[in-house]
Amino acid sequence: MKAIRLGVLLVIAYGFTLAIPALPAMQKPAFVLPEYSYSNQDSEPLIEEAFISGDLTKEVHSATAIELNNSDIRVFWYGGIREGSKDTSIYSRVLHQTDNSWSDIEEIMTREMVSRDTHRYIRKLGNPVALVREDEIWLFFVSVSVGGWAGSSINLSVSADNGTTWGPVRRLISSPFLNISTLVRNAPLLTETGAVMLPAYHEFLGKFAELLQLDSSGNISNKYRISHGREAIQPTLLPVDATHAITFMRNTSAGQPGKIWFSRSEDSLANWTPLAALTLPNPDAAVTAVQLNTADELLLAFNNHPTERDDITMAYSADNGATWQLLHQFEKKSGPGKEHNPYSYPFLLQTHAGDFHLFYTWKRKHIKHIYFNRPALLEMLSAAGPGS
Amino acid sequence: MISTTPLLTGLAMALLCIAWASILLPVYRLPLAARVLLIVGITLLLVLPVSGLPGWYYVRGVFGDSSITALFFYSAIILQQYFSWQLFKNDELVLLRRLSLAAALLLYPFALGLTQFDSYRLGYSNLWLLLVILLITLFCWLRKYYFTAIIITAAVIAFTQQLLESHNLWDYLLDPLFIIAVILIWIVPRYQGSTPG
Repeated sequence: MKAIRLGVLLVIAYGFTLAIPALPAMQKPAFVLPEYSYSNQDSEPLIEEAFISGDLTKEVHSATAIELNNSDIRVFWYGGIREGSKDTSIYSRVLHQTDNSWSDIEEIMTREMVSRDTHRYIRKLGNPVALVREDEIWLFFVSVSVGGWAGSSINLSVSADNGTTWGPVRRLISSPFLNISTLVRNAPLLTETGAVMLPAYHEFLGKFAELLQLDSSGNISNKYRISHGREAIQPTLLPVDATHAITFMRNTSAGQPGKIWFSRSEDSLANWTPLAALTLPNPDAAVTAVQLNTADELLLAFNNHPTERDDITMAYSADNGATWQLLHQFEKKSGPGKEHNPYSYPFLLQTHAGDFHLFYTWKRKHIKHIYFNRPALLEMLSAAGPGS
Repeated sequence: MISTTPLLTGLAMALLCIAWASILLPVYRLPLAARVLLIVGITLLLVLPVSGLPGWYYVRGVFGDSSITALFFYSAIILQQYFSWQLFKNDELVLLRRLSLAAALLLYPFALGLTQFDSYRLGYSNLWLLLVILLITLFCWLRKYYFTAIIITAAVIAFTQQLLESHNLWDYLLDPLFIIAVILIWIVPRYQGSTPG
């Protein structure tokens, strides 16, 4: 009996002696701020629009995009017979900057591929978001094995050849409750140490926003809670400087009609201010934002209606989100007999040259792409006049 | 890694299903041959393809990976219910239940968004959490609850080696199915006196 007692003690000593020094060191994230050359400043104002998702699938949704190292734009979305049907896959295509042409549409991720790599039954895929990290593209997307989108988990696949081929899919574990109900929607950011900050949200019992910190191997190494309860999801994260960040979020609180939520962190994401409502409405719908040449100047695309997603509007703020000026309406309410929530999930990308690409879901049938250059933006600003 | 090696992951899923069969059904009343047949049957169901995927892919899709603690617990349940071999005593089961429920109360409400505090975050790299677990483990050892001390230590070692997909210590210590199993064994009358110990 004494031998067993001693043996168990030795096992305990071994285990904890191994574990304590192995605890990963926690580093406070410091953001890498984007730099823009604005090389097209002297061009003519230009706004172009196109449907880019083709007709491979009956419904499409949730487009996002990245600027590749060669300045091409790679777009991702998901599609299937219906938004939540079993045949949803992740699709992608590239806008080549050299000749302004689009590549063919590729089905880059299917549920069979995810099932094979993660050793699980996978029912559907959705919400792709990506990040360029050195020479790699990190693609995050959600998958569901059972139930609706609230049963989502996050997956990661990496491409080392600009998206031509994709590495094995890995499951990220972000919740202790069967790892369900963590989703992504908005763009991740890089930190100075190479860590990735991935905006995520939960919509199971709670509806809340948080940031997942991934190390250079793609493992979750920390997380930061932005909100709690059932108020806010789909955070769009913008760094103000190395240690300050702001976020805008979709309003899911029961007291609809709501306003876009805002929160700020001034201590490397450790603490976030309580949710504050912008003056801009939010019909429980996704929003997207980018910074202009200074961190204080922001562009935000959203549905400018308290209850319906029947427009896509862009607003400008010169004071880091305190006040907003409506700039341009890309889609307008289409009158009686209109479809329910025809325009949704806008995603705004600013290229290093200072051009803008806006993508959104158009009546669930198409992904619409709006391109506008900086002179066009300046023209919109000039036409909109002083802000309020 | 358990999570990336199909054989080990499938084995973990088999442990889960075989143990849960004995939690939901009075397996111990069956003759030994029937119990062995039940184990073989469950294993076959998990291995045989359904719509092109092994059965355990569906189990894993729904429930995810079991914690290390749960895998040891399920092993003990299987040994007791199918082969009448007890690994721990009744009072140790009471301790394990109390510890598990306390951990669940500390973890799940906060992880699911009740407050701005997120206890799950502590599992990534928190020395204090690890020291508290060490104290609990030493308490178990002092009270001669060796099974509990060993399974907690095994969970900590597995976390250090990153044997599961998760990089969070909590996921090595407990999972919702394990908590439900502990509660069921506690409240279902036929387990009183028939479970390990």
